[in-house]
Amino acid sequence: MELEIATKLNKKSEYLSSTIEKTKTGISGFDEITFGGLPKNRPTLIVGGIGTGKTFMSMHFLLNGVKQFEENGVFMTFEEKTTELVSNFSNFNVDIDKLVKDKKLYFEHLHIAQYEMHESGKYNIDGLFVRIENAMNAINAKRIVLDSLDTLFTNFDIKMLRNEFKKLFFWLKEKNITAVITAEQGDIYLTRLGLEENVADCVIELTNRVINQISTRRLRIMKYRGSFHANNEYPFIIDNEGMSVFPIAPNLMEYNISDQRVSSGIKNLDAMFDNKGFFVGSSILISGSAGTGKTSFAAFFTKRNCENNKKCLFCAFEESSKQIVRNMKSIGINLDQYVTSGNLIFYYARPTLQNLELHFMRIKALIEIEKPDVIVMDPVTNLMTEGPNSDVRSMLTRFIDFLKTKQISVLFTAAITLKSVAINPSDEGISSMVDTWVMVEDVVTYNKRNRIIYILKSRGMSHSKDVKAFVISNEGINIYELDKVENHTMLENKLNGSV
Amino acid sequence: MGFLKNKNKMNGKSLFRFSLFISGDGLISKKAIFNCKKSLDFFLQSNYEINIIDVFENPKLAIEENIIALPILIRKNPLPELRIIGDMSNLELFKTELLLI
Repeated sequence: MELEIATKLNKKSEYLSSTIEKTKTGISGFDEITFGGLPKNRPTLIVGGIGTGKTFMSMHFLLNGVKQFEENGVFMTFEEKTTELVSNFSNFNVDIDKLVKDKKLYFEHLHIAQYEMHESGKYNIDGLFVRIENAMNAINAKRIVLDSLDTLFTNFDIKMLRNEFKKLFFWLKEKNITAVITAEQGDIYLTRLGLEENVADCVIELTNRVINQISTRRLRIMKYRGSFHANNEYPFIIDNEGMSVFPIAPNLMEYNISDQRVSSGIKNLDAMFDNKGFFVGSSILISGSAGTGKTSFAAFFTKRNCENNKKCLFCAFEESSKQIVRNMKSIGINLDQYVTSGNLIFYYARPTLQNLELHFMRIKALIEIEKPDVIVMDPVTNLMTEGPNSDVRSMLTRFIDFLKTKQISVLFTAAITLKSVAINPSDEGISSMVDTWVMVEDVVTYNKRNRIIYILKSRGMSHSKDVKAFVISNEGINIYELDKVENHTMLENKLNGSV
Repeated sequence: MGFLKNKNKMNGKSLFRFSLFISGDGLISKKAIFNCKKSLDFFLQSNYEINIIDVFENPKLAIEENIIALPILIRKNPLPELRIIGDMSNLELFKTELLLI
């Protein structure tokens, strides 16, 4: 039944995406959310404020056209001199000068100096048309960028421009060229002209919002005539590799579900999970307040996987890798040997170093290179200080989806307790996303803190409902029945709430 | 305009030289040519040179002169270069801008 729906959905999306021809941008993630790229031979409008990446995105679109799809491109800039523009993209891993020489790319700077000009009666912007056509013919272009159109507004009469822009958009369609036009966002010009509504076939909005002192770039498709598209706001990053929209929305219907199991690395804990441990490719959350042994738990999981010659990626957001290695020696784990053997890779970064998306992109890039079997994120709650929690949640969901398509098991540690969930409902958000949730708690009796462990949920397997004692010593982690603990009656009473 | 008569010849060449760029032979281009000639004839009689260029036929010149808005009248001589865009229906501008030396 589900399969049937899935094939129907696939057919539907095929149908929806095939109604209109598309041009791939080659921008990672963007072609996925638009189901194939920008509308072919039609104008697309990119709107956004200052510094949101409009020029970058359009340049990326052109360069990819030349590099990947053998489509020549014209860049008409109203703002920057062409030499400045080229030097801005010099660290982009591509020899722009050579492409220009080879007649694959064409740059032209349309400098408007209205202050030297006087108006006398009616005029139009035919000069722009002539120059665009000349540029297109010079290199037989299939792609064109006009960046940014609203420079014209400050120089020319708005009523005239309204008509001329309409003319321009229709003219571009006739020319069989995929055009990207950038424009400053605002109520000032474009909305007043109604350009978005009337002329562009596709409108993309870029924003760069600062929340909690961390800025995040986001992209949204406001309109896509004749095509199905994803509606959400998607975070994106710009780095040396270019622009990537996060995430590449994985097709959840396609990934395989594994029946295989992976050991938790703690013998008695595996016993609680049907004697087998976690599912391969599942997501596991180990939560508890500070000092309950979450990192130690993660270290054991890492160790076991390294012993089985699996590759582990340990993402540390709290301690540096060296500190983790040192600390884990105290409970009898030597992680150093796995680092040397190449089974263990550390990713260490302070959460505040960069925005959340960037962390995930870096980790994702590492995953693509190192192809780990297992990932540990310690602790994931540290990331949550960055950006509002709803962001973290959607990022995490997508990240987990991504890992599932790769069949990578992931272990999150989180400073979440049942009490904190009651206070902060978003904490529960994380726990509802994971497949398995293990809780470690501190229970204080008279003169001692006792750790207890229990499984809150574990999808798709029978699991123990017992509360057990969780003991960390220099020999490692052990899990006992509660009655093995020294002052167990007191502990049990405490748990029952009778003390 | 007596002062112009003495100055508007330089080594046998006209002191005033203009380029008028138009796009095709539409109404707006025709108006611009007509108004230009009328005004210049009025102020300068025949003591000027005007070069009329259709950018549809000479796109390269549009790039060279960095032209976007059309029609455009450029005063090439005397310097500094001056530009007027439009169908040249405002006669005042000729007097106040273009013919000032």
